Amino acid sequence: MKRVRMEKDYQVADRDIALTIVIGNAQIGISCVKLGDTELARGDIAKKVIGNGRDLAGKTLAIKTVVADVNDLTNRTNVTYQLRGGTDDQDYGLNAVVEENGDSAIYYATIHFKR
Amino acid sequence: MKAMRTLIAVVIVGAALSRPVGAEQVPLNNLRTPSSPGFVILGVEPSSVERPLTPRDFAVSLASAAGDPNLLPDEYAIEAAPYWLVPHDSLTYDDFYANDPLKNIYRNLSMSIAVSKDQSFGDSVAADTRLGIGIRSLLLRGQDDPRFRISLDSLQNAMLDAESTEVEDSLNAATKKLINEKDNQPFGFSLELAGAMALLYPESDTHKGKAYRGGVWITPAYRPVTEGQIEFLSVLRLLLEDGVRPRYDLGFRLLWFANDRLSMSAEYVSRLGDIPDSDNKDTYRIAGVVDYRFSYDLHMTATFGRDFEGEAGTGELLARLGIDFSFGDVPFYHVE
Repeated sequence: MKRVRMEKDYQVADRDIALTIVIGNAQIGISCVKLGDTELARGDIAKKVIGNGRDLAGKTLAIKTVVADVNDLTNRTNVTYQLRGGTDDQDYGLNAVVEENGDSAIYYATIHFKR
Repeated sequence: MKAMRTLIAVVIVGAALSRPVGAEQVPLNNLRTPSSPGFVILGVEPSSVERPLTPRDFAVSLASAAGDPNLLPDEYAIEAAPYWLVPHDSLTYDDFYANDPLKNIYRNLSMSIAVSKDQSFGDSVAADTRLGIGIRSLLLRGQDDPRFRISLDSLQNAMLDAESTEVEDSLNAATKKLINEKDNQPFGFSLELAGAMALLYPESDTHKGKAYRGGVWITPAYRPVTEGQIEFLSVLRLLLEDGVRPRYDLGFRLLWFANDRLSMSAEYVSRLGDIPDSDNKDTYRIAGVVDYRFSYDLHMTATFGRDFEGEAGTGELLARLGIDFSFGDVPFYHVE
């Protein structure tokens, strides 16, 4: 099973930070979003407010996403993590090609919020 | 790791016996649209099929197969879905399955190409080469069975909570099994289309090629979501062959899933047109099929009825018992 890892810094501002997770290539995936040890959200993540930038600075967001290859026309999977509300909008794209139809890929994203 | 597949079959009980698939025969007994019409139209089952993932892989495969433009390769088979040769990172599952017929056609388009060389008779005459080209697509896909989404969601949630790679790998195997299950078909209306053409190159001369066979498949199906699941499938096939009248097949099948293991179906196919090796030009097939799944990897199929004339050897009785085994992660489904 494919496992993909990403670790990034994200510059916050004095606004709410929102997260959207897009599963592409017509595959099915779900995510679990944790801030520290606290689970903030699970399932489809769309414009989920993580918190205000003032409070998030210095904290770490940990996201685990599981994507199953249900599309028998391709073995490609990908996840795009979209962060909004910081000093800049950021899209972090990750991808993996699974070996066979039906296989899953697990994506781990760690995002450090910085001032 | 690729699954190792083994098929152990088939006990012939009655007088009927299908002829082996060869370059001169198109196996048209399955009511489903062929997944690779380019192979079916040639009547071949390639042992090795190239499946390129990128436009570059596709071009390299074709170029290496073509080699000298005046020569045709001995054996070659390729399958590709053109739309999916490039990634679609923003195309979500819900967008893809929104059932827009126009988008469905190009997004689900797949093509299959096969080259097969006939047996050579002596060194003085080069063998003939046959080329099959086919396309297939979905106009209407139907809707996901909600039970599938619930089961998948449950497995994916468990994978999110898994804290060891062993547990994740185990859940991955269960997810894969769920996704690849034969009965995991969409419900509602679906409509599949396919077409294929076969060309003959006498003595493998690329300048002497001529089309000698063509086929069209139109397969509408309906599957309601009910506790005792029923599926209705119909097919309209047209086979055009050099020198004979067009051949039409119109067929219906009613399938009933009694439970997770047992399914029964009745099918009728009327065939109009020239039938090879038969004086009777119009014929039909009527059959009852019982399928029992002992386990994920093992199932048994019994077929009884009357087969097409000209495809049943000396008789018309159809009575077959088949057992399919598959070893590996992906089951192999054998029909007749």
